Amino acid sequence: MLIFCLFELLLSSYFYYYIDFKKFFTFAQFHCKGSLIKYYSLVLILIFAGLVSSSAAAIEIVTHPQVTEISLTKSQLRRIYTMRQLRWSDDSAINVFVLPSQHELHQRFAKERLQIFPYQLNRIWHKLTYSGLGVAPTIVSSEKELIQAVTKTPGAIGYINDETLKKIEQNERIKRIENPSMEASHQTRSKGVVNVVKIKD
Amino acid sequence: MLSKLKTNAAVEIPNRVHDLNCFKRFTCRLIMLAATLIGYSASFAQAEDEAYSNSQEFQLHGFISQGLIDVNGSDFVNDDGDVSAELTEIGLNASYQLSDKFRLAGQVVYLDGGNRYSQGARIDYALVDWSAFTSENWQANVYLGRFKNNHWLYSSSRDIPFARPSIILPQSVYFDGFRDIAVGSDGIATKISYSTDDYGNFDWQFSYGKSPISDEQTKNILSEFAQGSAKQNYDAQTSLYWQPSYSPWRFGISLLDAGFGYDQGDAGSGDIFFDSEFNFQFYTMNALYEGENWEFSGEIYQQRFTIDGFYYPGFQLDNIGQGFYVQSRYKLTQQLTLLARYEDFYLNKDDKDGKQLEQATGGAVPYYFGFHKDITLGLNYDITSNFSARMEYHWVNGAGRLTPVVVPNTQINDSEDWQMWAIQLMYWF
Repeated sequence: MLIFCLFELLLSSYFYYYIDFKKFFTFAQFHCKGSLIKYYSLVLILIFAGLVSSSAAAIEIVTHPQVTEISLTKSQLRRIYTMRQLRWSDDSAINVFVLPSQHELHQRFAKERLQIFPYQLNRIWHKLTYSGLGVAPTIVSSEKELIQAVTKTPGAIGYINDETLKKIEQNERIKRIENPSMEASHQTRSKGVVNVVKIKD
Repeated sequence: MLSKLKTNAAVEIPNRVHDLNCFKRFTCRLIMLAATLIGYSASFAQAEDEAYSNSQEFQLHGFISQGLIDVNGSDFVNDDGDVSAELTEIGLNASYQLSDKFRLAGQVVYLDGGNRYSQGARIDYALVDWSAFTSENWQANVYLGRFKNNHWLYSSSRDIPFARPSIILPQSVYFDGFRDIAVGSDGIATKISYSTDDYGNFDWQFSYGKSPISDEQTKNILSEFAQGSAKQNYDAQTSLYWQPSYSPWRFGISLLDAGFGYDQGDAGSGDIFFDSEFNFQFYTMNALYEGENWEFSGEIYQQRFTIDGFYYPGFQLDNIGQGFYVQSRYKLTQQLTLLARYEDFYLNKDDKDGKQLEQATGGAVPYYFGFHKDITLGLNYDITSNFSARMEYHWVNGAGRLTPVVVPNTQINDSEDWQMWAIQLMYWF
């Protein structure tokens, strides 16, 4: 059964651009009755998924420098983006930022990091925004704007392509060298322009 | 004041001239839409610097949509059966975080749907949101003021063109004739959400309040000859939604109990109807599947409607109606979504073909007023992240969901089968 699970996984990962966890979870739960087998197959799936997703340019989760969380679980990230968790562990408000729904990075973030289809996120957010029930994430138009928003807004969380993040951090370093007077203000931010949060399974 | 704004003050434009004029209005509205678009994108460039201050503390959102609709064989939109531009929905809302625990939110909408509901602007919701409790897994909110009905699958998004699945929703549940009463209430509502890795997401809601009923609506629902006034005494609703952890499925149930009263018009008004009490109960169950390309949803429901009085003192009526719809959407590409839906509803479960209705009224109300079936095909094209176009075609069998409800218009609605098509452009921010 385990081999069957993996075979299915290999086949699918070949055909799919990204790994659809939801399908595998349901699949694994459905086919692998033994709890031990279920556990191992899930672990393997996750390891495998990690290998596959790292082959494409990675998406980093970033927060405002004052946010104390250094890691989040997948479920926490999902709760934050579906507006089911509104506060950080220190009780400060979470400010969620996203790119427009048809932006390629947003599409990848939703599927790979949240395991939600972008249209599902839109529905959740539209319902909050247009029925008065709550507040939806703030949409910014570009990656550059998103990183600026996360830098400037306390409690902010966002996502960015790791290549873009590297470039921004390089520029920041050059700026500091060229303009030493800025050094003092930047030293307080020992962690850099933004925090990069680890996402645990 | 709120109650006035909701329906009574819907801005009436009298002596509306139809025929070719509707195209003129359509172009006018398109220009309006274009102006809004340009204005908005211009303000975007200007506001780039302050973009981040528009975070969750203060948010401003809105939408504008305009369409064309053509109904043949019923008075669903207009009486003359011509192509109509009476398919306008405009909304603007704001949300402001007052403090850690309190938030203010409100939305104004302008609707024009012809005979479907009264034309004009109304306050859609205006509420104080008290975040009573929040933790990693729990959220409890209390809403005071005018809130929207969030209990059914599409009840909160029925006026939000891009958030609902089709231009015209299944009329058996989202009956436009009842829109102003069913869309929300003035009172208190509460929502408790629980989210866990093991069991998934639970959302429980309860609401209690009432809706004002305008004279126009009284006539729409009861009869054009009703001279008295109708009011809603109470509206109590509750619902529970459950989405298993990481599952594409979601399940929901809802219960509604509402009481209405009718006060006979003054002696001089010549009202032919009498003081009466109405009671309406509505139970629904729904399921939703959201896959990568396929989506399935459906609602099944039973309603109980009782009348005590109205036609003559002591008159009694107790009807149980039933219905369902099933809907599927398929994402052909990232932009293009296809829709297919079947809806089946009858007002009296013991009289599915309406024969008893025709007999009981001595032929005045034909049998086809006892049911409503609708086959819908449609497509939606997302042009950008917030600009969409949509079109659809409906084949309808039966006149059970046309206004006026109690004393129907059998002259215009003289055929059992009728059709409509509609196209709509939608922009939102």
